[in-house]
Amino acid sequence: MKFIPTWLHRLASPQHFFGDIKSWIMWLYVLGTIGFLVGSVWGLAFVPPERYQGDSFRILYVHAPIAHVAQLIYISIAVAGVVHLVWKLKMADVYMSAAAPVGCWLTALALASGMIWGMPTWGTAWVWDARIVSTLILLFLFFGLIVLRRVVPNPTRAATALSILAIVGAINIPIIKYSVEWFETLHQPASIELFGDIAIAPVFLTPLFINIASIYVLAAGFILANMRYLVVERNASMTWIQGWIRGQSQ
Amino acid sequence: MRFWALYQREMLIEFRSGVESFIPLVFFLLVVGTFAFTLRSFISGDARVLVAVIWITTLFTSMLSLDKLFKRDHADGTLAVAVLHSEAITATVVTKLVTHWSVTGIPITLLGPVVGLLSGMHFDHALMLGFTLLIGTPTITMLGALVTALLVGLGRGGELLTVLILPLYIPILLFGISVCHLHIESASYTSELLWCFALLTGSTTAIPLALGPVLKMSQDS
Amino acid sequence: MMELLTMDGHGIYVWSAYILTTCVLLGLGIYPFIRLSRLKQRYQEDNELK
Repeated sequence: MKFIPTWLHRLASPQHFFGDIKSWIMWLYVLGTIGFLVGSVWGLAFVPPERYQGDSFRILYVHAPIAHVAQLIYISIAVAGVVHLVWKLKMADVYMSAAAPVGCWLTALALASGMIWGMPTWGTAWVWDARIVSTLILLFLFFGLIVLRRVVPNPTRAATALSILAIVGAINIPIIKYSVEWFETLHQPASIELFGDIAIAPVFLTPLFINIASIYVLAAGFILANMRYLVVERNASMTWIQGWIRGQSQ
Repeated sequence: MRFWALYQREMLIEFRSGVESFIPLVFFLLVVGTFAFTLRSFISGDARVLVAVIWITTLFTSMLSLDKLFKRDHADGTLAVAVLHSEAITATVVTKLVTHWSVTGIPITLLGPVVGLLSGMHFDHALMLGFTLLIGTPTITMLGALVTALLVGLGRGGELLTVLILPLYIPILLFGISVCHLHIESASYTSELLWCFALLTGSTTAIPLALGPVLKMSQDS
Repeated sequence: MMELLTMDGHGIYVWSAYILTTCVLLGLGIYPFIRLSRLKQRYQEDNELK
């Protein structure tokens, strides 16, 4: 019982965070890379072609996990925003700034791989489908967070502004999804169903779960690596950073 | 009483500026007119297109005047004094919001259905358009004011504001248009209308309270 | 082996999606470390100037 609060508490201080986190990042990278390779090779070579879409459905194994994790990153930024507003925790602010670019890239990647997938299956790269539009809006929300971080000069104010925008955005995400879905079903009844009428068979599911888990792990690694950079940038005057710069430790 | 005095002052300032106070309305008519003229073959056949055009233009008009919402009070120091007292800042904020809505929301709510009627929209449909605008415009004002408050005093308005706000406007826009479209198609629109009310009540209760601390923070830096 | 590459004509889409994803993930993973070493170098140069 005592173990968990101790390491969590250590990570909440920038100095200990910086000292401890490098090995964590390496482990996450290794684990995530192995998982991603296993899941992708499995999905590319060892899963039978899907009945309706043939082989192009294999894009699912990179597309779906990334889209899923990107959404989750936004929610997590909003949670960090609440933590920042309530407890004024410095690392929560660092987390928000570190996670926003990662989420932005992953959202863009999900859109891009979706477009590639759309070409053979729908015959066009882009349709104004509910999921695509809500992902596009998510991209703009991430973009807004990054821009807001850049334009506010005072760091305390920037962090609070970021928290508020992230929270309002996160409240909006489910509503945006519902509103877009309802709006779309109003106008173009059931044009595209990703999997037709088949339920996803377990053969297809295992590599998907492996890849979802690996993308989680990799994204955590990316965010921690960004946080490590930000910790150095913001604490440059501290003696422990100065020591690291002179090459005395770490 | 204090609120009423503040409101009168704000409205007086708005109308003292003369022709300038009509800019949002002229902008609204200009944009709707441009859309309507370029899309005229679609609009004459389908009232739903005009509804979407009027709703989207409402968003743009509201954003146009957001920029100056807190600008003057920040420049002359009124805001710096007001944030010192929680009652004062709440009164100021609520007045600002109500004024913004009175100057852009109410006229658009009245003007939107008139534009619809003049373009041959059915009377019932125009009435429903006005009703959804009546629910939607306060929500739009609230969300816009929150994001504007985050940027007070940075000297950055305009396109940055637009990029930050527009994604947050999507739900009220889509639900508002949905209600009108379903009404035109004589389908049931109860759940969409309830969503509109939910967004209205949610934003009008939470945002005026959040604005005080946000503005206080802008004065600290 | 050829079948895995072409995938009934869908190969180009599948492989480009996988390659794109891999590239972006690699970039996301490596960039923070490049940035950090650049920052360290800059700080070291600043220290030498002092």
